[in-house]
Amino acid sequence: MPHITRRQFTALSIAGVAGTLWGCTAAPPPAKPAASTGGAPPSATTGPGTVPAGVKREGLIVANIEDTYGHAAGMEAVAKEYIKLYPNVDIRIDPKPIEGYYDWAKAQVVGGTNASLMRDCSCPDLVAAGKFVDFGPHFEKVNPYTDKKWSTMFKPGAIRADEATGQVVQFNMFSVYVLWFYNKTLWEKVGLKDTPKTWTDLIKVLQTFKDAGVLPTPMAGDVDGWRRMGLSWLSRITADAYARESINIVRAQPGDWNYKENVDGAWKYDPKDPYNDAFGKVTRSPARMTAAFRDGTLKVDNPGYRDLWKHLKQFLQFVQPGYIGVNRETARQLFLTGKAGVWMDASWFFSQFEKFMGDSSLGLNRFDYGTFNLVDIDDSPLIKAPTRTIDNSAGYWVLPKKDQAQNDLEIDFLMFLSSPKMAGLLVETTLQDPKGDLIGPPMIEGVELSDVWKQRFSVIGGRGQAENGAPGIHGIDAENTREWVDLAQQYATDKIGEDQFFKQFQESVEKSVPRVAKAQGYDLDNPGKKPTPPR
Amino acid sequence: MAVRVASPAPAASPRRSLFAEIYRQRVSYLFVMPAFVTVAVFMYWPTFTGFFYAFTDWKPGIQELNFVGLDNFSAMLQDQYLRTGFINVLVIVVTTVLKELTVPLLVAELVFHLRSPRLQYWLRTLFVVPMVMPTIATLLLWVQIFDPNIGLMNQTLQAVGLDSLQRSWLGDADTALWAIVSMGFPWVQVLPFLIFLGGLMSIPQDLYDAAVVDGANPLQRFLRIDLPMLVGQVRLLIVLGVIQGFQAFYVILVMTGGGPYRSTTVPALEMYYSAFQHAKYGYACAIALVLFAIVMTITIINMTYLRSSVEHEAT
Repeated sequence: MPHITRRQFTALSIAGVAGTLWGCTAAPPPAKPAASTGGAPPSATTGPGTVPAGVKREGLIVANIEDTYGHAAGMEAVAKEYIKLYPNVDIRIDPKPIEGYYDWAKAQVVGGTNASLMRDCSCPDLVAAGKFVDFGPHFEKVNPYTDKKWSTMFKPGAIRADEATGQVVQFNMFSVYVLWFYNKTLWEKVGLKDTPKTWTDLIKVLQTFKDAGVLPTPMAGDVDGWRRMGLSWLSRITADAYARESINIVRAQPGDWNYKENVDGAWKYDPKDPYNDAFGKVTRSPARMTAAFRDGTLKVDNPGYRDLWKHLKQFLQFVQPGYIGVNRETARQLFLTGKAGVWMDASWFFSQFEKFMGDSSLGLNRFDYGTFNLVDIDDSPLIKAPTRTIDNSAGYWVLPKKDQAQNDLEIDFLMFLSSPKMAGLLVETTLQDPKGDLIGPPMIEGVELSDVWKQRFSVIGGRGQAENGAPGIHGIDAENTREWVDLAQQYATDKIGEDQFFKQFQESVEKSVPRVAKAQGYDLDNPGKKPTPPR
Repeated sequence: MAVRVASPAPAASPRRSLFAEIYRQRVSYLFVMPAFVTVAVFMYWPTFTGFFYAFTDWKPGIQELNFVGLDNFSAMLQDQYLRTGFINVLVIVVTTVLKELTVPLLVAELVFHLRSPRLQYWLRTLFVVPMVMPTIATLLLWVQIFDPNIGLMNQTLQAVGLDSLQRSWLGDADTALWAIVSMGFPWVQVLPFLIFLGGLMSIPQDLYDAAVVDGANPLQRFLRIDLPMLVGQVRLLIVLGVIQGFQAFYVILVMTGGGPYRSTTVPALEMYYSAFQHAKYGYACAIALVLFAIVMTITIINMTYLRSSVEHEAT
């Protein structure tokens, strides 16, 4: 055994322990400290794709985006271009699967993360706690890669502030739009001609498929299927038609911290205009909405919501048997394999369809498809407005707050990414990648799509974004959302009756009000006051 | 007859102090130190801090820490999801133990009593090989098997004319938990199988020879020799099964997420949701503390029984 002196032993022990702890606990640091030197505005003559004069950047950018949308290859391509400009910058594109992503992302942000770019984890408490970069002030700056004010490079509606805090925490480069797709072959085979415009039409279409022995529409009914997309979309979108006028209750009032006289003072309620209450046209106040739920001005147990559920239960007669135990992927497979007539999805399905049909290993038979919008409820006197849809900006990227230099580097990368040339590269590479899905039409000015894609996306738009009023349907916090899923599944499968469902859901919402108020820092007695979230 | 008197034992050396002993073995300790430190930091430290946080409303990064006394524990009593979870976990524990004690024992018996050592070797290997399959892959496979529209289960029932038995196995609250329990059929679990096989191999051959002389048939041999000699293994597997059942989490998360409704939830899953979805870390720590107490109690029983088993083997 080699001889080790007491001093050597002590030194090695300390080094061993320290090394172990450091190696195990320290977050991987940037390869080199992020730095932005020579911060002077770049030369006006600097064109896109060249290093702005006098600017030298170094550090590490880690993009832990979710891989649902298949943007990894596109991001890699843009990252390579950025590294060409700044050889001392390292960019790691490390997409994560959507399963468990929200939980993972929340834990990352709470525990401290070295991730630069993440997907919004639907965590308003963390937004309220100031855990993410506010893009607001940065959008007012000049983008050195275009020499234009950054915000002007986005199409209207792309930049949306979080209404509870006023911060712009999401970075959205695409639009998303929910609509119905139908199998043209099956459509013609069962003798259908016109696409449905109203609820009555839709039910007739579904009934026609059913009578012909074809599954009318597949749906995911598992926990995730009720929490987001699929049935969640359908219920939220339809609820909007019943609760549109709630915008008058939840909008900012004169004297509120977020009330803007030039915007809110001039706004008039018009249910005929699908974009009447779009972002930027009127300011919503989540504090007022929460206060309204507390006071009973807004209730989920109301005639409109009961009527909505009658429609939902009518619709559920046409989905596949056992849908409660089916996830979204399996439900979609029923449509892709030509077993189902219609399928509700979002604009990313256009590229997903091409991807799946192009993959010979899946053994799918290509078919032509058509689309139609979500339909208006035409058989209820309780409807307040035409049905809208999810018609919004998307991407949902956020930057967790870190030190200023690191965040500056990350912001610079996003400026680069959102320049028309690089945004175009992102789109082009994504579409060429066998794993790539494009969320929807890009919302960056100057990015041109090919004619094929222009034609495919031409059906998108015009319906307006639902849910600008009170949700009145979905949970107002994570616990309430879970209880909603629990109750909705029970009611949908007749395990509980209508009265029990509405009574329990109403109680659940009332229980969640103080939780939301506390987490967001709302003063419900003075909902016009700026929230002061606990830190 | 000469009587040899044993020479007195050499005088015992002065007892070394613990630290002196550690110093004497310093190189060995140096090598194991990283492992000790890692375990202490990542296993013991979170566990002990969890005790503290269980009495707080801990929401790291969101709000200041407040001491809330026993509020988290009283909230647990009102938590319907947790209540359902404890009922479910009892079902899971009982069935887990049953699955570990039956089929693996039967297979171990069959393999052990094979006459051909070569065949025994290959069969043993074949039963162990599935261990290399990632658990998550197995779970996803079972999700597909239980799919109501394209799953193997319903397709098989249809093929044999039992259409009326087709179900949404994971989507029906009446069948979801039992579908999860039945997963892994025919339940030849590797660890119990190896434990039983090892136990059978350690039974002295004399006993079997005596049984042959006495004219014992295979059933008598199993009941009178194998089973009594495997009591230690049975006890170990019961305790391991109980612990495994209480810690069931990812299986439920992947298969059903606790649904439909709350029909398949378990306490460990509620702990996960409380922390990572609802940001109620203090409450999650309280659930963890209760689970820890249960598992700790079982572990103590485990150690007691294991000692008995060793003593039994030594006599």
